[in-house]
Amino acid sequence: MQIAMAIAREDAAGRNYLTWAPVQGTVRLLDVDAGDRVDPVSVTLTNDNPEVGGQLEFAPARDQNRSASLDLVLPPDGSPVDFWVAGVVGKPSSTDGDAVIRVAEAGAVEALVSKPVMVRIRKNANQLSPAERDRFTTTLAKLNDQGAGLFKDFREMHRQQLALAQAHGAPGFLSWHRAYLLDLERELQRLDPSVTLPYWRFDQPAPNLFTADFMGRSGALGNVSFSGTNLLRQWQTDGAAGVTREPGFNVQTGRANVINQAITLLLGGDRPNAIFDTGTDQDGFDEMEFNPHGNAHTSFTGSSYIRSRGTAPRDPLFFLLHCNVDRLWARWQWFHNRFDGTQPNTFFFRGSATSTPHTDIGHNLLDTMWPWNNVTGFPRPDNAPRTPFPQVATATAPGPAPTVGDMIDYLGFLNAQSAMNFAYDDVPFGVAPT
Amino acid sequence: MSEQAAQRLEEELRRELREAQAAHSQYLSELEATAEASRAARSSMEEGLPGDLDDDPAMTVLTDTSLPDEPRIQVLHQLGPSLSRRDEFIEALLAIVKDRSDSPAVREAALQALGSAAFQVLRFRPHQPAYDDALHDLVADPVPALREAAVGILAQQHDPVVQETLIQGLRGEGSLPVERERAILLLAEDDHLDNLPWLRELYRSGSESVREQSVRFMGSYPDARSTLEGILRDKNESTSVRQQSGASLRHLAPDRFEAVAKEISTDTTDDPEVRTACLTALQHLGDTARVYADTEFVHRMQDVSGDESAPQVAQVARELLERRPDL
Repeated sequence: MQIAMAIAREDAAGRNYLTWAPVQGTVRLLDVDAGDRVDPVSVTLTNDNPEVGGQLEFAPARDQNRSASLDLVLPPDGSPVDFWVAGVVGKPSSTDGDAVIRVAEAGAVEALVSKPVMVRIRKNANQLSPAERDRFTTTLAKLNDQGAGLFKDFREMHRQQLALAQAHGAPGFLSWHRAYLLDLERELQRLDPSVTLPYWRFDQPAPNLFTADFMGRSGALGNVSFSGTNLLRQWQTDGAAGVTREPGFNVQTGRANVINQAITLLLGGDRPNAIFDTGTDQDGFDEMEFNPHGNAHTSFTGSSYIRSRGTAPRDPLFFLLHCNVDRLWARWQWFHNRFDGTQPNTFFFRGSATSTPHTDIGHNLLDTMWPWNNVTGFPRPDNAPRTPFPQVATATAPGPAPTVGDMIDYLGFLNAQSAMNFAYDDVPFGVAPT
Repeated sequence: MSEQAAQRLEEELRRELREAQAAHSQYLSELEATAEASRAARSSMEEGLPGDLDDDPAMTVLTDTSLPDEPRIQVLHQLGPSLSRRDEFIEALLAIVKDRSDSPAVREAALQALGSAAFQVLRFRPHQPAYDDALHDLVADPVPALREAAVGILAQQHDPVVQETLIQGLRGEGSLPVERERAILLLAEDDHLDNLPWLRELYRSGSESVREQSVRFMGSYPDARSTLEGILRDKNESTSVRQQSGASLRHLAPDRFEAVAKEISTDTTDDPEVRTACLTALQHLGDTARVYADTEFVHRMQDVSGDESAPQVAQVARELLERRPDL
C-alpha cells in the first residue's frame, strides 16, 4: 500500500518549516488505479521519535485541540484527507528535519510514509546549542560579507533622520521593527533555512551570549574580540571593521539596566504612571520604546555603536536586542489577546495618515511602511533600499508592501493567511488561558 | 502538549505579574511619602515646583536635589516609561544633566534616560537641539564619566566640534577630555580623518586589546596594507591581534589576504587559532570557487584535515573539503 503526504507551504526544495501555528496537510492513498480497493484504510499520524528532535501535534481541523497522534480514515478512491499540524510548545527543533511525521496503518509497526520537517522557532540566545549559535553567526556574517553583502541595506534603513522617523517615537515602532527583523531573517534563511533570529533577554544575565564564539567578548576601550571559528570576526559596516561595544553592566552575572519582563507586560493605559492598567490601548504598551528598549541600548557606554540610534545596527547584537523587543510585544499580545488591529486596545490610530484621528505617516494602522512600499520623497526618505518585502513559499504574509496593521496577527491566530512563519519559544499560538 | 505548556507559561507569567504589581504598589507608596516630605521641605524654604508638577510625586522627587541619589534614580528606572511622553520630564532631565552642582550619579542616570528617549525620534524631535547642546556642554564637564559619555556619543556622530577638540588635544594644543588612547580610537570612528599616524602610534604603545583596536581601524586605510600583512604574519604577535589583522587585510586587499591565509593555514608550526580564522574566512567569504580551484591548496587541506595535532584546524579543514562544489 502506498500513501502520499503533503504539507502546505513547502519551500522550493520540498521542505517544510513549521512554528506553533497550525498548517494544513493532506494524506491520501496512492495505489487506487486498479480499482480493487473497496475498504477505507485507517492510519495514524505520530512523531517518528517522541524522545528526540522537534515534536509535532495533530488535529483534524484547525480549530480543534491537537494531540500527539491522529487517526485518519483514508477513502479507497484516493481522495485526500485533511489534517493540521503544528510544533509542540517547549519542543522546537534544533536541526533541520529533526521533527519527523510518521504515518502508519493502525496498529502497524512499519511506517507507510514519513516526512522530516523543522519546527523552526526563535529562541533565547543564551540557551542556543553551539551548532545553532554557529549557524547563526556564520550566516549573519555571510549576509554582511565584509560590508559588501545585502546587510548594508539593513544598515541603511536605520541611519538617517527621515528613515529613523519611519520607525521610532510613534505607534508604528513595534510593527516596523517586526517587519525589519522578519525581512532580515528571511534573507538569512535564503542562505541557511535552518537559521532563526535568537533573542537577547536583556532583563536576565546572558553569559553565553557575550563570548568570543557568539556576539564577541568586550575588552578595553570598546574592543570586541571573536574566536577564530566565529565568522563575525570579519564583520564590517560603514567601511570600518568590527564592532565598538562597552557594556555598562557585568555581562557574566548582570543584566542591562532595564525594567523586567513582568513590568513591561503590564505597561498600558493612558494616565501618567498608570503602568498597571493592563491595557486600554496599544499606545500604552509602546511606552516600552523608552524602557526596556531604549535602556537596553543605553546600557552600553562610551562610543558603543548600539548606544546611539544612528549607529546601533552596526553591532550585530542590535538584532538580538530587537528580537527580544518583538518577543515582548508577542507575549503582551498573547497575554492580553491583542491580535485584532481594528480594536482600540490593540492599536489606537486605526486609520491612515489622512484619517481623523491620525498620527505621523507610517505609524497609522492602514499606512504602508517604508522602505518596502517603495514610496520616497518627504516625509518619506529619498530612497528605499529594500523593496518589495521578500515573499517566501513558507508563508503568505505579509504582502510586498506591508501596512502597520499587517504585522499584528503574525501567527495567523485570527486569519490563517496572516501567519508569517515565525514564532518565539515561550509565546504559544492563540491567547493565554485564563 | 502545547495546551499544557501554554497553561504553565500563563501561570508562571501571572505569578511574575502579581509579584511585580505588589512591588510596584509598595514603591509608589514609598515614593508618595518621599514626595510629601520633599514638598514640605520645599514649602518651608518657599521653593515650589512649577504648575501641575507640584502634584506629581515622581517629578517632585526627581527634581529635589536635596534628596539622596537612590530615590531620584529609582524614579527614572521605575517610572521612566510613562514619564517619557511628557515634555516636562525631558526638560527636567536636561536641567539635571546640565547642573554641575547636582549629584554625578543622578546626572549620569539622567543622561542615560535622555539617550533612551532620543531613540524615540519623532517624539524627541523638539528636544533634540537642547540635547545636542547639553552633550557639547558635557565635553568640558568636571565629571570624567559624563565627559566620556558625551564625547563618545558625539564622536560616533562624527561631530566636527568634538573631533576638533580631540585633534587639538592629541597635538598638545588643548586639553583632552578623555585619555589619549580613547581619543585616538574615537577619532578613528571617522575614516575621513587622517588617523593612520595615530593608529600606528597606538599599535606601538598599546596593550593587546588596544593593539587589536588599532589594527581594526587600520583596515580603513589602504596605506596600512603592508603593516597589516606584517602583523598577520608575525608569530610573536598575539592571536587576537593577528586574527583582527587578517580581517582588516582581507577588507583592504582580499587577494593578498587569500595568498597569506593559504600559507598560514597550511603552516603546521603556526598558531592553530590563527590558522582556523584564516580557513574560516577562506571557506565562507569572497570567491570561494577560486579557493577550491587551487588544487594544490585543496590537496594540502587533505593533509591538514588528518592532522590531529591541531584538531580544531583539522575540523575546519574537513568542513572546507566537505563544501567542495564538485562533491
